[in-house]
Amino acid sequence: MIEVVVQFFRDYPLLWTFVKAVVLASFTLLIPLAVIWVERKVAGFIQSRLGPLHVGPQGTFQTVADALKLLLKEDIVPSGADKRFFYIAPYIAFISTVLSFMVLPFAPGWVALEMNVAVLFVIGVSLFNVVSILMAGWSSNNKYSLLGGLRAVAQLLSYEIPMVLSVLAVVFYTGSLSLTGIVEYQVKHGWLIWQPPIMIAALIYFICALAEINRTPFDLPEAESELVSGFNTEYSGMRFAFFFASEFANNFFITAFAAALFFGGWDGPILPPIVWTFLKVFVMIFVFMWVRWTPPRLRIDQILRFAWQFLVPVSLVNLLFAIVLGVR
Amino acid sequence: MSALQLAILVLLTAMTVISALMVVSVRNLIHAGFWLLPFFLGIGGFYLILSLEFLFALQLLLYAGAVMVVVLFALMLTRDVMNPRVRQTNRLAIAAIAASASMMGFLLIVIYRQMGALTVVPGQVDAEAITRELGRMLLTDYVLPFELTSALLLSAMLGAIFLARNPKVELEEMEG
Repeated sequence: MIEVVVQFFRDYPLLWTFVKAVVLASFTLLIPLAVIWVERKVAGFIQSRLGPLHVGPQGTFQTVADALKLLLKEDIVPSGADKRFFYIAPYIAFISTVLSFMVLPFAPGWVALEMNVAVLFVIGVSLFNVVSILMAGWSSNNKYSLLGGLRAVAQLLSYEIPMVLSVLAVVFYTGSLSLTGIVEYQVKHGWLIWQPPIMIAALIYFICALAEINRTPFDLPEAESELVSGFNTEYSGMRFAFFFASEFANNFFITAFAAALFFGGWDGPILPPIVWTFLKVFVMIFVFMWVRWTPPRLRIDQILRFAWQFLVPVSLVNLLFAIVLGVR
Repeated sequence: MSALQLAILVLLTAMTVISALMVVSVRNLIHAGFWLLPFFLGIGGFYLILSLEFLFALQLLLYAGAVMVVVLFALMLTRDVMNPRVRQTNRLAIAAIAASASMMGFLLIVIYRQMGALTVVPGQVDAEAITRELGRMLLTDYVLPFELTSALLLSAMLGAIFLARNPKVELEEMEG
């Protein structure tokens, strides 16, 4: 039976590509349901409440219900909005997330597109997210949205630089730009997190990842208490759901990327590789949430100053060390 | 070339040319900035069908990502860009045409000289060897132009900072 299916797809590679694309897109839409449920439970735990309880066991289907509600809601477009860009901005955010999942190895052979420059590709694609936020903020014709969009660009661009530099440290250490290659190197030589320069790189990556996915000490683009809801103030219904979904899917992706870069990806004893990937990802997501519900929000100038005056120099020096101490 | 490949090539070309035309013809500067995105992606697509994955990733990272966002950001910080009564175009069309025509001329000369080495349908290329050769040439034979380019970019950046600096605001910050 399985050979027939495999043979069928080998005969029609285009169809196989299509199936992979559909699976990835659905994964990107469905994984936020899980992440958001975990987020609500963790937030509840940290604030001494119970979190969602009523829909399904332990409130598991609460997010599903919310997603359905959002899909059924009216699609409101502000009268002064720049309609074309207002319409497509959420989809650009979503597509950028799907594209980054495309090159992510979940387990040996479980990667939609084996690309030997996957790391560069991921960084490039993640910048589309910035474009979509700017597009949403500008086209909404709303002061708060515009401020959120501008802040998002300033913050994401500033943190992109130390992030890229810390990822480059890993690239120089392993001599590979392919995510599969980096994970295989770690399977052979042990996890990179135990190497001193990479340890610092991982720490920088962690801080920048928080900023990249707009989690609380860095959630300036949304900042409910000052900007209503930031760049997505004017969005409602399905378009809002797409922004929300891509944000949480991004949360998943950025931790999975970290797992592949620093924590050996699918590497681990006894359990099957795919379970290890998800285990590492959810442990890291938990840490992200822990950070989100603990410190308060910073100011935009503090955030930018921290990026340019501390993170960039440190990651540059660290990159030098990584090159010197790297294998070749 | 199969029908599918031809279709992809035609689509890519159409996307690149149309979005390039939109960039220079729309009246709204921000719209022009956003139209840069499909244009850069189209160029990246050409690299991809030549199986130059490295160049594709760089195109994505530097042009579709960084340059695009920086251009948009500069536009957003420009005063009065939101004001519909301020005209956002200038009268330099002839100079712009002259500049791009001369650029086009240089490119045509280069392509014409290499005509013999070009094939109508590019076959399978060894992308890794090309990437390695590219890296080697940039740091040996062409190291001077390479460094000059970076010096040019650096001076452009310094110039931008100098022009954007507002001495009055800075003074107030120092006092406060």
